[in-house]
Amino acid sequence: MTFEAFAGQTLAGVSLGMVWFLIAAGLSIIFGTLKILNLAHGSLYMLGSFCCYQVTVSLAHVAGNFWIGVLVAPIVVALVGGVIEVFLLRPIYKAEMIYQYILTFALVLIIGEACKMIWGVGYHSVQVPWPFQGSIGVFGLSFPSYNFFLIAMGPLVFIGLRTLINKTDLGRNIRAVTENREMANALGTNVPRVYTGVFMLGAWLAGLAGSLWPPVSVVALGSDMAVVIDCFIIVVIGGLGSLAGAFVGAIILGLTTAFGLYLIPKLAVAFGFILMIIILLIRPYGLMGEPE
Amino acid sequence: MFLKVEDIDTYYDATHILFRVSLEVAEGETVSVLGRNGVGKTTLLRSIIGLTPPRKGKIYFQDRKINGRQPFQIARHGVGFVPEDRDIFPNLSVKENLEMGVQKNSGRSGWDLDKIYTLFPILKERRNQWGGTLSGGEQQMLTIARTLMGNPRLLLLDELSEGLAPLVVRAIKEQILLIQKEGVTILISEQDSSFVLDVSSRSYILEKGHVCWHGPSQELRDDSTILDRYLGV
Ligand SMILES: Nc1ncnc2c1ncn2[C@@H]1O[C@H](COP(=O)(O)OP(=O)(O)OP(=O)(O)O)[C@@H](O)[C@H]1O
Ligand SMILES: [Mg+2]
Repeated sequence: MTFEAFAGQTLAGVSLGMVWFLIAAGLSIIFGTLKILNLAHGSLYMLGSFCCYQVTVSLAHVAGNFWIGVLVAPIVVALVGGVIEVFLLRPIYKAEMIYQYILTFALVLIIGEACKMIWGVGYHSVQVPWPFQGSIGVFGLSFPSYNFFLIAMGPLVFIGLRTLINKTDLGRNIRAVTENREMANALGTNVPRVYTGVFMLGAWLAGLAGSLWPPVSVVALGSDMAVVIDCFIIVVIGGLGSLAGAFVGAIILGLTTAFGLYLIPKLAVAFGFILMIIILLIRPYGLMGEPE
Repeated sequence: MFLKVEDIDTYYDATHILFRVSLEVAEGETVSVLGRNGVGKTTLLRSIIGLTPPRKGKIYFQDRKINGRQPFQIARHGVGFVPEDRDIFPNLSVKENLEMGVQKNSGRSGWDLDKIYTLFPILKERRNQWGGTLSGGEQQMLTIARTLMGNPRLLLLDELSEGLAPLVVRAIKEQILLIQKEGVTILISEQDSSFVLDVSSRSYILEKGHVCWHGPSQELRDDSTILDRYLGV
């Protein structure tokens, strides 16, 4: 492996990891607070991709259309998330786990079919946006500058979420509801509203990831399941409910995937699972998780 | 009537716990609910705050029907609940725990951080520690203080003395007397009558989910046969 290939795969792996982190962070926060494993989280990501693509097409002649998409699409996804939480999830919190899986899996099918009806089965592409069309030279090699932008988004969102959760009243309410929803409720916290807020935040993050990834890839059906499986692996190896764990897990899985694809493309799908098994054997609660 | 519980029946799923329980508390009064292990004292307080809503019967607080509302709504009407099992938030700091009790725009005032820290100096000392690092007695004080931060008009206290050292129990009793002086109405449940008979004017005794006796606490102090019959071992 040449140094150029090595550096290229590292960059690709970390950018992919950072986009995954946005999705996994939402998945993890939702699981922590609502105790719901949202199988449709990848569908929210995919919906974000299609929405952002739609904005770039509808506003094809408007300067900065991609950035308008990045602004609008996650909000649309968050609103869809809000509707899902209030009307579909709320009635089943008290039901057994299996009903949550059935419901969120039904959402995977519904959102998938809806996207198919609206945008068709073809591949859609989104141009790399201004001002990141160029390359940046590092060690005499040149790399697409949009990847550096993606990599910067990870820590930015990480710090933003940490600040929100640890330093604001809203974050304190979220932590309290996560620890003991009954007591928070009895003290006057509107728990149902916190639930809706947390689900919308997770959906927003998925929509953001969905908006940001297409310029280095394509917009197409099927990304929903692919992404949700990868994000489950990330959350499990990082430790359920740990934001830092999701961050580290995302980078590890991103790198594993990028190098796996490069070295043994045929086995690439298996690498994530092998990695997960190894990490769970060494640390059953994930890298940064704590025993219950 | 300030608080009026009217013929409530409460269940945990299929298990019937409270049977046509009625109870009244006047404004400014302190009333105790006594009874052995498992007779339904906690269930009664949980019914009032809405955590285990009764299936039948009605509950009025300040002449407003409150059963059927969510706990956070009942709390915002001015009902403060202090749980028996020291349900603090272990991974929130002591100060954050107290902030969780605050109810903005409630129109009620009186208790704030300064006043709480004066009544419970130990909480001031420990304000930046995780709630989970406090001792049992300190956690019990934190649950009381946290609820007071919401300036409740009615305070529901559930078995404060359970599992605490006698010295701590005495400190908590002193604090209850101070809270009473502030004009807060209190409904307090206990197994151990010695703790509450001095602070309450009237008492209710529960047995197997029924109210089997109620009257002035003075009578229970004077006549130990009632206590022996319903609370003795
Ligand atoms: N979550 C629950 N699910 C089913 N049954 C319950 C539940 N909580 C309590 N019970 C039962 O309800 C009955 C009344 O319980 P409750 O906690 O109200 O009693 P208590 O008078 O507060 O007792 P203690 O003095 O031990 O606190 C008990 O028989 C108990 O086993
Ligand atoms: Mg009890």
